[in-house]
Amino acid sequence: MKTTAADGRNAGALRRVWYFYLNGFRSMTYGRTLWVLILVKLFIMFAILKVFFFPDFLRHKSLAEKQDYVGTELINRSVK
Amino acid sequence: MEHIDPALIDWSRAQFAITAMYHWLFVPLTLGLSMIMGIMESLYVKTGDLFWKRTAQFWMKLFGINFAVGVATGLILEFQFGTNWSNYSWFVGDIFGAPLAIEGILAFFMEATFIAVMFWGWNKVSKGFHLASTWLTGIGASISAWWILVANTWMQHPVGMVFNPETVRNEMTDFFAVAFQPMAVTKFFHSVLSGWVFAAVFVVGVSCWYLLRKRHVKFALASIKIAAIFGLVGSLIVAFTGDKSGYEVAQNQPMKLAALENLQDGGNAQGLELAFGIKVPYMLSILSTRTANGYVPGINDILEGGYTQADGSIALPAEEKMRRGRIAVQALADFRDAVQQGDTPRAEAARDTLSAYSRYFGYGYVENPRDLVPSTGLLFWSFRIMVGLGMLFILFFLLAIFLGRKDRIVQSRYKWFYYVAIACIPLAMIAGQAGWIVAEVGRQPWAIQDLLPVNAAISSLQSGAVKTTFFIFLVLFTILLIAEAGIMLKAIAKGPEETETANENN
Repeated sequence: MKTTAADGRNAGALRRVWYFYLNGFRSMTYGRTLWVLILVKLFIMFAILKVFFFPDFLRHKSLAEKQDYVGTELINRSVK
Repeated sequence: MEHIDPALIDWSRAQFAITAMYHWLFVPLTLGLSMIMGIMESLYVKTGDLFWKRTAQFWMKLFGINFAVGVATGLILEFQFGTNWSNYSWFVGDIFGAPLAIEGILAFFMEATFIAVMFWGWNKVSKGFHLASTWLTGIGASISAWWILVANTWMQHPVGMVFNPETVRNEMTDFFAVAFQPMAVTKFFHSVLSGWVFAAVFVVGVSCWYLLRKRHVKFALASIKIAAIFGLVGSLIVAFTGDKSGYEVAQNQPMKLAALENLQDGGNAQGLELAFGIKVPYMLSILSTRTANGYVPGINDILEGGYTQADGSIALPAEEKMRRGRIAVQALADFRDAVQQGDTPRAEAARDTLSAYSRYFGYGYVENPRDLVPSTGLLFWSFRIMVGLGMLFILFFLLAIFLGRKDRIVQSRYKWFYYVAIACIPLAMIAGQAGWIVAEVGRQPWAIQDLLPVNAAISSLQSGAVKTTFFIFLVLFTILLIAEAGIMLKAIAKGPEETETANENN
């Protein structure tokens, strides 16, 4: 069903907020290019870079294992 | 001592640096343009003149382009913390996490809410509410910057925490000491207002381009008049906070100051070198100690110790700090061993030793005292570029104000100023980048001053993997930068709308 700005005027507060954003996005002309750019950028960041290139180094460790790992690293790397 | 590939450290630092520098191309324009837009819209609300509405809308459009390309690029830094700097990320604990979490929440809710009203709310909400949304977009961005800079300052001057050997993390004991330490306040005003300066230079430069093309003359004149005053105020506060920052660096990071000046051997009544051996007598002593005859330690003095510090204590030699650092790290090892053995008295003794020497903890990873000296050549010139351009911008804004009065600037004999203004846009970017080089390269070799050097902070990765992602970022960032430049130039070429266009501002 197609919604218009007028739909928003007769709705409740939450619906008005929803229509405000919806109509805002729909009325964009210049900004659409920017949104495409933002979405492509976020996709590259979260779906490619974060997953394949930037896993959390300590991700698979429990809290105790993290403490133990970093503690051991800090001790072993020091100048003896 | 576990061997860490120096290439791994270099590529990880380079990757972080390129991300941060790229991010800082967008942030200052966001911080400054939001304020300029707020001023222009305030004039619209006050006068009811639609000219000011259209003027504000045009700069909002450029703000939107910059915001869209720059938004979330800072998140890549957080990816790098988790992957490349995992020891650091764990070690800093909630000290770093709390400010960044507040920043994330604020950035999301304040900016997502008010930026939408700012762009889409024209003629849908009252003038007053729209104006408040515009200002709150800018204020929200500045508050976000506050928390990022709080975290950064803590790395330069760690306060308000205690190291817990059980969790191997620093734990916050005093939130206000972390959030409002004087260095953080200074850094906030210095960094955020440098964004004002950049945005003001940008507005004057773009407006001068219109004057050069003889287009939108009334719009350009009005924009120049506002941006020049705004930029001058920003520049003067940046200069003031820069001086304050210099004093604080002298107190808390004397090696950074010595490296900035390439001061090998210090002394009393030190002059400040402008460049090529030309010195301003006593100026470095005044900057560092607030007295003309004050003692400023050089690199060798700091390494050798023995001089009286500002707090009256005698500076320790680097070798002694390194010895104490090794004691601190050994105490951590003893503590862990004692806990594992269930030997409580030995664990408590080790904890006490660690507590006594914890301020030297990072020196336990330093092999050679000379490793404590950052790159003097890069710092020396970056500092002079930053300060020199800052001074240039004060003159630039004064001139813009003068030429703006009685509309002198439109006279053909001042056409040269248009070219100067356009040329100042990249110079303002360079000044901001040079500032961050001063702050961050000057901190080396420390990830956290005195507590954790980069060779201990880094994850055990293959340097080849980090090198690969460095080049991925280089390509990605370059594409984004070209995209922004293209969209921005197109919007500038189109210029402001000559008539009111309701919602066509996004």
